[in-house]
Amino acid sequence: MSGGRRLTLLIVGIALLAGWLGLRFSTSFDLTANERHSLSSASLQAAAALDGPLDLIAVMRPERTQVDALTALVERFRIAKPDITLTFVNPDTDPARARSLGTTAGAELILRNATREQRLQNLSERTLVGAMRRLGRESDRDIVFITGHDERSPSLQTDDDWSDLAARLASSGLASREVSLVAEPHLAESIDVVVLAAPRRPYFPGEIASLMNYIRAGGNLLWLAETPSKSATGPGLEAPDRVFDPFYSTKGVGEGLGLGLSISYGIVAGFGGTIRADNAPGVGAVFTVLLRAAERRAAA
Amino acid sequence: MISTVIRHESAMLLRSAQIWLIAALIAALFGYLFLTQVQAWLNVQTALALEDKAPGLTGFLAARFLAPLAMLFSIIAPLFAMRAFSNEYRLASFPLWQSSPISSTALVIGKYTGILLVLLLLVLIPVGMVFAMGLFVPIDLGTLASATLGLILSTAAFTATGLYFSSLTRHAMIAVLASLALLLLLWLIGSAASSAQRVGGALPLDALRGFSIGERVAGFFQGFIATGDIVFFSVMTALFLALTVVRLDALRDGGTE
Repeated sequence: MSGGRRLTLLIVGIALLAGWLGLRFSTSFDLTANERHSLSSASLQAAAALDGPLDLIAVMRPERTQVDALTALVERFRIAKPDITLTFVNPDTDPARARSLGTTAGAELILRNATREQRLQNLSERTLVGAMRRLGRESDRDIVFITGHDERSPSLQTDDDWSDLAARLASSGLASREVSLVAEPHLAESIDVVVLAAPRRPYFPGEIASLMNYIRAGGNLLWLAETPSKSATGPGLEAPDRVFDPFYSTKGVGEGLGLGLSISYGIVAGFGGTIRADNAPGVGAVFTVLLRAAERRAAA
Repeated sequence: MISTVIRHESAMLLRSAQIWLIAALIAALFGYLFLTQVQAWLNVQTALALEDKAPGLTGFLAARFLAPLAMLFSIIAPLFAMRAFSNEYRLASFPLWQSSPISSTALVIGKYTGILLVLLLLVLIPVGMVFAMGLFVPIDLGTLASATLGLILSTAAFTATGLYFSSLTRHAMIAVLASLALLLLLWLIGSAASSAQRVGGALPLDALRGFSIGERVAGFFQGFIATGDIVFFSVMTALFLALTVVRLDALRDGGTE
């Protein structure tokens, strides 16, 4: 082997090594004015907080710009969470797979973590982080629907009942159960939210007392009323227009976070609904939650 | 000494009528592509504005107008570099260089810089078009700087590739075809790897992604600079320049053209 050839091999070897080292220890800088390629620290924390591998399945036509944008977005999350996998399913070439995933007509991203999943149609950093947060929520988060007074039931599938709501809660990793205050008068502090789902018969004084005890201990009550009803009475609110503000509390500092109703507001808003607080004189506080039964189709 | 070589090489290119013809055609092409992409941006502007962190006009033009030009320059650069050594061999003027007191390294760097300077003038045309939009709307200088750096670094690497193949043969056409074949391969590796990644291919093409020009150059045009990408193009440039020097030294030691 001539000296020239040996030198050539040496140079190529050095170049490969330098290139490999360069890519291995690469650092990136975002030069765009609106920091398009940087995730906010809150997003990175949300990704890092998620336990176990996260599988993303994108059901979309392989349009280059969309695929690249999604790949780049996921790549940025990998900084905080390396065990994210991303697979693409093309509904045109693999319709069977797309159908088995139960996807809708448009592009859809399915997030899978352990046994839970989230689906996204509108993809951005914000929606992706929201989905990761919902995935990461403890699955044993305790949502209790009170029964026994003709409430809308989360388990019955009649038109009058709210099994849809329970199903959507379940798909967000939020299991719900029904409790009768007669059988279980003490509501444990570990219950995250107690839901009064539009009762049509009044509660007994003992039941109201146990609800009040639960709230005083820092519990969250979501009271869904379809129409202001005279059947249930309670104490009024001091400032109904402020109750949904985060950290607003009538309790002293350190006695409660004042986040319960703010979280309720977020949950209802997440379903595309509205929640309103009013004082009905002689009745008490009335929370009106409006949820749309179905998405209205745009007029063609 | 090197400056003499640089001036000689630049002047050779600038004195050639073909080069000016190519430059004029390319400038017209730049202008047309620029206008189509500005038109495209006007069409999608309202839709883009709804996105979370939408790319502005600069971001759009960097990705849609300047990025494809990197591929164009991988064709132009070897065309400009093809005659650097091939012509010297063919016209038997190379022995004059060899007998001059200029070292092979100085000769290679001089010729390379001379060609690159002329190419950089061409790179400035499309960059100037985007920059000129600053007269009408605010532009994102960070993104434009990053895209410009990408164009410069990739053109530098393509020129070095063309120069190396020119030093291998006395036939300029063969030098061009060989450089184009290699550069095309390096571009295609990227698309093969990324499409394999999409469907989860059976072949381990992902291992080749490190060599992919397309993957390395993309970040620059998104305003997202990675040191690894800068290293990639710098190493590619240095590699082919070093190989050219080795080749010239071998010729000096009695190798054949």
